[in-house]
Amino acid sequence: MPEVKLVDVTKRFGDVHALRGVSLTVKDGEYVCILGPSGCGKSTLLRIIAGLLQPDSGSIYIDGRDVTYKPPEERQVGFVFQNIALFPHMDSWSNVTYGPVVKCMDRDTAYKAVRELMVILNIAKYSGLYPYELSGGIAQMIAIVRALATGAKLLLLDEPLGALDPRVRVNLKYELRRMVKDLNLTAIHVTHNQEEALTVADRIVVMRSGIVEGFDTPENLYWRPKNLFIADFIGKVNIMRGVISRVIGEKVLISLTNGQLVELHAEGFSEGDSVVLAIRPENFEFSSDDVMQDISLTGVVARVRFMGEYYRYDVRTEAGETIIVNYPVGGDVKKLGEKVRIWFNPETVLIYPYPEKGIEKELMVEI
Amino acid sequence: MGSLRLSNVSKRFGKVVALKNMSLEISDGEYVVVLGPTGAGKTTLLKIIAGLLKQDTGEIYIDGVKVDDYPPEERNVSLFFQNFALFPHMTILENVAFGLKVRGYDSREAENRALEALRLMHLDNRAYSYPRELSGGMQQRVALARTIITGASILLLDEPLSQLDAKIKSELQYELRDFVKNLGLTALHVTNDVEEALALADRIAIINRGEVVQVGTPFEMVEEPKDVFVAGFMTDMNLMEGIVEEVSTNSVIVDIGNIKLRSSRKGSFRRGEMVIVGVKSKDFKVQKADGELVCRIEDSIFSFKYRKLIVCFDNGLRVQVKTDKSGLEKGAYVSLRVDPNDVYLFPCPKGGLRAAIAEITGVS
Ligand SMILES: Nc1ncnc2c1ncn2[C@@H]1O[C@H](COP(=O)(O)OP(=O)(O)O)[C@@H](O)[C@H]1O
Ligand SMILES: Nc1ncnc2c1ncn2[C@@H]1O[C@H](COP(=O)(O)OP(=O)(O)O)[C@@H](O)[C@H]1O
Ligand SMILES: [Mg+2]
Ligand SMILES: [Mg+2]
Repeated sequence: MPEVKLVDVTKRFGDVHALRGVSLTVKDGEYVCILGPSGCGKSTLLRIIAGLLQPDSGSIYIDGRDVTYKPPEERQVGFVFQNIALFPHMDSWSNVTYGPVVKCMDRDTAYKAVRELMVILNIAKYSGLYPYELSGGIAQMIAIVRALATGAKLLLLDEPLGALDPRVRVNLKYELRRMVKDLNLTAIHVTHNQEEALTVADRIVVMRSGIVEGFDTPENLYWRPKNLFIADFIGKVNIMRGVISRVIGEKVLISLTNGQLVELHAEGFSEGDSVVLAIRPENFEFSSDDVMQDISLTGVVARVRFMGEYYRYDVRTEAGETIIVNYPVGGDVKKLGEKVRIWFNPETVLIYPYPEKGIEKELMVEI
Repeated sequence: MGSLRLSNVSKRFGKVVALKNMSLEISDGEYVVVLGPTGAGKTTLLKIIAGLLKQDTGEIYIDGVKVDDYPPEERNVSLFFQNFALFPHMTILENVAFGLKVRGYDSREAENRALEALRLMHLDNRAYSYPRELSGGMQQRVALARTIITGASILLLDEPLSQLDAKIKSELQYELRDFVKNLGLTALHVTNDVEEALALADRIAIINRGEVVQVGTPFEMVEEPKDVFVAGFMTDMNLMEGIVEEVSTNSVIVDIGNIKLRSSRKGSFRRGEMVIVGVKSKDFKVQKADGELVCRIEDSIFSFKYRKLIVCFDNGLRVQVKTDKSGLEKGAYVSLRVDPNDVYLFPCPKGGLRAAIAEITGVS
């Protein structure tokens, strides 16, 4: 159950700054996801932890031991890639025992451990099959067992579910988490998929352009994201601009650009500050005319999509903004062109200072 | 104009049956998504329609005309390849405009149209970059821009969003639909991603092992799945083996190892018959343990606004329950309720439930 600590790790490829000073600690037994858009440096970070790549500066500690200049074999890590890389001419059993055999480990002990792993993962029955006879999901599980076969307690997964069908991914991610917890491993799992990260990890590192934007639990990233980028990256938000018109104790009165006033709990703002409010599509409600909410917007339904468990509505407001509302299936269904009144519970609103570089830059995922 | 009709199309590769008697009708201007797992036959289907592959039997009609003997360029279709390739020595703009120029558009007009398509893909600012300077997802968007502006009335799109980051894809899919609709094009789009199918389709056709299983609107596919495969593919339904215990006029009581659930959904089942019971995780309501349907919370997983509880009954049955209630801790006992209207019943699949689930999820 190793602990992994990175201190100020940087890495450049020519003029590309892949990592710009990354520091973080993954605790013993923790399942951590590294989440970020393509090209933000996730794989580079993982390869540096594994010892497959040298950082330009900074240090890596595993269980308190400085391994910055140690080769991969001395780090006791298991590494799994997106592209399932089993040896095609070997059956599953030969694939998973390859490591112990090459390393001349004690056969009885190693084989026993590998067999146990396969039983825990429910894949012992595939021992005699060759890679081409396996489904993608099973093949990836075999690859994971192979990565752990030499006794590694630190599992590094680079987009391990990326090559699989979405429907397969959903199930396999729970299996992965269960395995890591049952075997008392520490796992660092790289993905660009928000849902995958949020539903599998104990904590998530959110990265952008070689920088750690946040490192927190799924609950905190979703309900209390510390900046607008994270709020939007973790799950869509609707954004409204406004100015603090008054500070009243722990509350602020905000005058929105559409002319409306909202009162919210917020600290650290002063009168005249430009702010943005971020509201998740699932936190809007429709209201009927007889119930007046403190704050409501009227608009016209400009797009309707049935998304299985909810309807997604694009509501074009009078002020010309588009607000996305995700409303659970079961209530009234709004029609295209229908006039609607929407409101939100102020408790669900996230508030941030207006970003210096503008909203669009702040939210940009691609560099 | 761009209607499309497949009539009993079959195709084998040696022993592998890639398509089996496939029939499908797509009206002019319709957006149809063919949804199915890898290996279901999706790419084969598109290649046959595009004329790149010849079916063994069956016919293809475009705008009512049998096109089986037409070469690809005379079929009025534009195919987006799953394994697309861009011209490495051309800029992004040139890549997108190339097809139009070949078709005789003057270069100004071609580039204007290409820019418009790039704008849709949020790549107009990369018009003068080269493919190698773009990420895989960006390149895929370039290829998609190139496909949708060829002037053909029917778009055949083979997993066109598969390489995009989830975040970009989640908005782009709606925009793609609008764009296709605004141009009045017909689209046959294949994917293995349910969310994508829901976001884009007027109708969805689910295929498995080369056969159409069910065709319907997104709503019909989610609310009225006809069998375990469709239910398991389209929704997060808990699927359980049960035995019909009592049949009355409006409802059926099923026994799932001593757990009784009432279903009032239509369907004819006989007493003593083995059935598959399906309940979506959102349709189980959690309440204080009260003696009925009592179970223990084994795990509680973050699920955005909700939590997904894994609960276990005395008889070992495990189900997933989605709830917005807070304060439900691991180890606690709760009771579940479900509206009989939300209890689905399906015939037992031939190879048993486990095999059917393994087929959908790829893991057993
Ligand atoms: N071996 C390399 N040579 C040159 N550039 C590289 C190399 N590896 C990664 N990069 C660049 O470093 C950045 C981060 O890459 P990577 O860590 O692979 O990102 P991610 O895994 O988040 O998609 C990207 O801009 C990528 O192009
Ligand atoms: N050229 C080919 N030769 C042999 N088998 C093929 C060929 N093309 C496809 N197949 C097989 O046909 C089936 C359907 O493949 P495909 O149409 O590519 O499915 P999908 O696109 O849904 O993943 C698969 O079993 C595949 O292995
Ligand atoms: Mg990567
Ligand atoms: Mg395919």
